[in-house]
Amino acid sequence: MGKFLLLFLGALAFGACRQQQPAATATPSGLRKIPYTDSQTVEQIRQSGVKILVQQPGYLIVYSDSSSVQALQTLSVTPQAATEADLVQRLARIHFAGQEQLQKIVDLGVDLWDVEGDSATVRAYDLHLEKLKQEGFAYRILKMDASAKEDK
Amino acid sequence: MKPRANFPTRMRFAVAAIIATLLLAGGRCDNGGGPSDPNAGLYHTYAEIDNDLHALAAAHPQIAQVSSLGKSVEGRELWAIKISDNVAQDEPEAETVFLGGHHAREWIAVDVPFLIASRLVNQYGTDTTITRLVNQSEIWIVPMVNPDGHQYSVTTDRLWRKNRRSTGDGTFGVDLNRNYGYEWGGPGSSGDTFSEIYRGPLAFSEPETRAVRDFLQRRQTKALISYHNFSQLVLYPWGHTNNPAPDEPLLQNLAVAIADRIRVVHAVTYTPQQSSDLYLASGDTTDWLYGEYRVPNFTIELRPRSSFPGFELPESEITPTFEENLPAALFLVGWAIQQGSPPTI
Repeated sequence: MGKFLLLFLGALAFGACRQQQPAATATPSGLRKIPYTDSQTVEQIRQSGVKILVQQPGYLIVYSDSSSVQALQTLSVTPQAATEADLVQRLARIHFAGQEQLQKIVDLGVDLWDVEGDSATVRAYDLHLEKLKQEGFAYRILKMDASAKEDK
Repeated sequence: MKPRANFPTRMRFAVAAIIATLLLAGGRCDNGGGPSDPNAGLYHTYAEIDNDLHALAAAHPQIAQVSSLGKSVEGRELWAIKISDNVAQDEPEAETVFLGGHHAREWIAVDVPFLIASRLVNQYGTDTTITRLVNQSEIWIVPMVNPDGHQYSVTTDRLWRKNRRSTGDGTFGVDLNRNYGYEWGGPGSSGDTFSEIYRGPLAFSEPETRAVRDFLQRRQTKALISYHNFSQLVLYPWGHTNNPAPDEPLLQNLAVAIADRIRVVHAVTYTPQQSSDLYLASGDTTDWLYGEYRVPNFTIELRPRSSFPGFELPESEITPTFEENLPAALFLVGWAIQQGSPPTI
């Protein structure tokens, strides 16, 4: 009886602590992590129309909705739960000409840090950078992982 | 008769120890969940803001009073300190509000308003200008509007910007400075949940922005500064359009006066300009307060000037950044007093 009570209270203490943790790594419903070993798989996923948010060595982070879930099912990939730590963003400097172009960059949803002359420093997902490239913007990646200390 | 003969003393000690562990674990988790207290060096953490604001008020109860505007998504208090003579009374005096820390990673934007509060309280009765301003007005300072995000920035991701709302799709956070309800959803904000400028599903969807809104609606604010970093700018409405605000000359003059007062301290230049001059952004604090109530108010983007060091401003710059912003803050309080009876909002 005493041992049971101790175990019960211990479990309660553990549970109370866990419940208050931010759900930083909870299984997401929209984000999926897809491990890959070859570029062909990446290309197949890209051509299926799935929104690739991040492409890191060894895995992709895709943003899946109902249609893309179907597309992924037809490919031989195994989507997993993504965590916040998987969401790597690049630090990049983008060149633009005039306020209208700068507004286009902002409205993509990038994290704009500062503007100096005709270039803007942004933190952005690969999805954003791909769109910028399609729109004809030139950019240079300053850090592959904007959060990484060692690149500074 | 022995009480509870079937429950040995040793076992009672063990149960007491477990209960104590339970209580301690609860307190620790409430403070961030890490194995040790979050540490932001010389910058204030949430726990330190909580502690230091209360200590300020406790040491000066005649002129300082701490209250909570509400709770964050994760249940942290949004602490505000009111500074005025007869602080317990609501006097018909001009009110000036200073907000800090809408964006999690902008640590200096928490410490500057906190240090302003500290200076006002500690120099009351000694510094004649401060004493006069505190006597003649009501000053409200909310140094950390986004405590959950700030905590996350301290413990997990230094560059975290948004609050810690779970959006339900695996992403987290709403940009609080795109969540206010004036021209919400316009340019310079995003509907993508993974974006750093995600505006939320609707205006004022977040408890933090609702708390600020409800607080300002109860008050009779004459002027407000919302601190951010970085870029060294003094921004005035509008942000959502390139059109000038109806009171553009007044707003511009005040912004120039603020920038002038900043520059004279350490010869550091902050550029005064309309918020939209660089690019359009919708749903921020200043557009809402000006758009709804025509209250002159400003976003000050603190040091540094550019991306390196960007948000990670060295600790050695905390004090000079505060020092150069103090005269500008006092100027705005004085300006608010000069406007006479506060408008009802």
